[in-house]
Amino acid sequence: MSRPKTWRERVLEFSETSSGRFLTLHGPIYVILYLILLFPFLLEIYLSFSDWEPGRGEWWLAHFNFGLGFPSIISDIRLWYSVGRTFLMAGAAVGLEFLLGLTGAVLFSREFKGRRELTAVFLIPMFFMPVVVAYNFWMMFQPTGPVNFIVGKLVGKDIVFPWLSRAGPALIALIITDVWQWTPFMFLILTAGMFSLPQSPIEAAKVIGASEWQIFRYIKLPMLRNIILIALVIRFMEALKLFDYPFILTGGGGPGFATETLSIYTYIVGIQTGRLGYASSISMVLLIIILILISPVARRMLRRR
Amino acid sequence: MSVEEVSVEKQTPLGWLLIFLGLGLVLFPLFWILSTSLKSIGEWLTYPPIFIPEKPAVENYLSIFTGGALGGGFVARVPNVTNSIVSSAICSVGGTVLSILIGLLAAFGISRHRMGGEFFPIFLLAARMAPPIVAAIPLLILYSMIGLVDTYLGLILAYACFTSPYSTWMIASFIEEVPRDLEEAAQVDGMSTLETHFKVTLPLIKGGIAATALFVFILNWSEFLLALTLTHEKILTIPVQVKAFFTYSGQLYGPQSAFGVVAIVPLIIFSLLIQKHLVRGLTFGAIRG
Repeated sequence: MSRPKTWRERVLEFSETSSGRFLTLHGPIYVILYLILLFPFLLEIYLSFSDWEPGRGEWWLAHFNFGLGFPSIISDIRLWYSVGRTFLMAGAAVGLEFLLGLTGAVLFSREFKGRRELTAVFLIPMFFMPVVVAYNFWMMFQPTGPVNFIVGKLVGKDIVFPWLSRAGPALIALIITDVWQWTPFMFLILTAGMFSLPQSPIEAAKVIGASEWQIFRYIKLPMLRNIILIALVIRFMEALKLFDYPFILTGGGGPGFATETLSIYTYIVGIQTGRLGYASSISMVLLIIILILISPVARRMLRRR
Repeated sequence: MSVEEVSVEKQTPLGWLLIFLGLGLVLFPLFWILSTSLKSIGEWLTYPPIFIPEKPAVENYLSIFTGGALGGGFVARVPNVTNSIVSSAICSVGGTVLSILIGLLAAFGISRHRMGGEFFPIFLLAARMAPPIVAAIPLLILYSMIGLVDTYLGLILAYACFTSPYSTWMIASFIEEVPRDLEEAAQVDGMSTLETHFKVTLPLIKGGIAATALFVFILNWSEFLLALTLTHEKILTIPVQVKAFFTYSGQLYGPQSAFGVVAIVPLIIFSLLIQKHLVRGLTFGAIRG
């Protein structure tokens, strides 16, 4: 009679069969993804076809309105304004971040004293808590805050401009906040890209007397194309989630609805006013937009692996 | 070509000018929150604004830990933030540990066994890139059904769920740098597959796992939306507490800035520790959750 197996041996033996190995290695992530993401996701699909609100009783008793929430999405002007605004803000912020980040990457591809230390300093904003960044910029954009003061000193007269209570300036304040925190990301990715470029084409161009600008424009930039694309897409996807800054900086999308982003609007509809069925419908539309945007990038990133 | 042969341009004066300009723009907001955190109550809202407080005071820092009243022209009650630091620590650490464990197992499955096929990593990436609000609403419904709203377990599970795709991608990229031959050699010596993963490869990617853990911790520590939706009063993480400051008596510029500075200290320390892995970590999905 053989001695009884220990738990350790049982686990190891179990993991040698292919299904056992799958369960041990991928079991946990499937549990968490399916139970916590997929189940709620299916629930969300169901709810998006109903008009459920928590006050109206249990969700499974919800009135099934055959997706009548979806037509009302089409006529929901506030929603579509928030979609447009989100894309506008994300586009403006990411565009600026890219230009500034690229300038930084070019400057830091040259040699100078203290390059390492300065790089570290330039990366600091990225690690701030977004909520704290938003609060800090809220302070700075107050009418009597330092932004007005410094601008006033530059143009030579006192300015007490209410940045956060006018629609356009509030948008600009949000974009500046995003640019402050996330330009370092662009800078870092592009700098890394610059350093990993093959040197021989650059050397060859130098030998035939190309200027630094020509080398940058016709050799480095085309070779960086892939990295630029990935950096832009990652940042753009992140910027589309924009929630923390408007929630704090402009008090959840103010003045009026002027800085209301998609995430903020969905939050207001779903959590604050409790129309979870309709919020689910909005989320479904949002998810479809994101998936359409993601799929080409995901394929590209996968090929790179 | 070796590094010595590459001739690198020297920095130009214009370049230096731009660098100093950028430095000013990056550092000014840092300076501002630090200086506000040291201002006493009368200095918060003056015009022209005060840049360097006359008598730098630590009273703001003390007040957020004692929760006392702040004297001056009017008396402001400052909320005690100790609880929120504890809550944040519990949720972030718990979420990170769980996320790393799940991610480690899944990463072995993906990079050593190609489990789930070509589609699985994309599925993970999509889960990572979807806006959190899309999942937050049904998660709230699910949680209210099973009683996880406003519990540590609920928030920890949510954090693990949202960051495990990220840990999987990042750990998988570290695993793939370890040659397979090492595991195969150990297998010839009689180790089982799982043992080769954990006894041969795992020790070699320790540094990478530590870096991933720090990244995930930073994500969890700064997370706002999920904490805002899934907790109410029992659990208040730091970002939610920062927001809650707005509703207390007036605007508490000084204490709130002091709190912001305190909240950011661990992030700065951790970011210095992961310098080496920054680029890899960021390409797999930025820092914000």
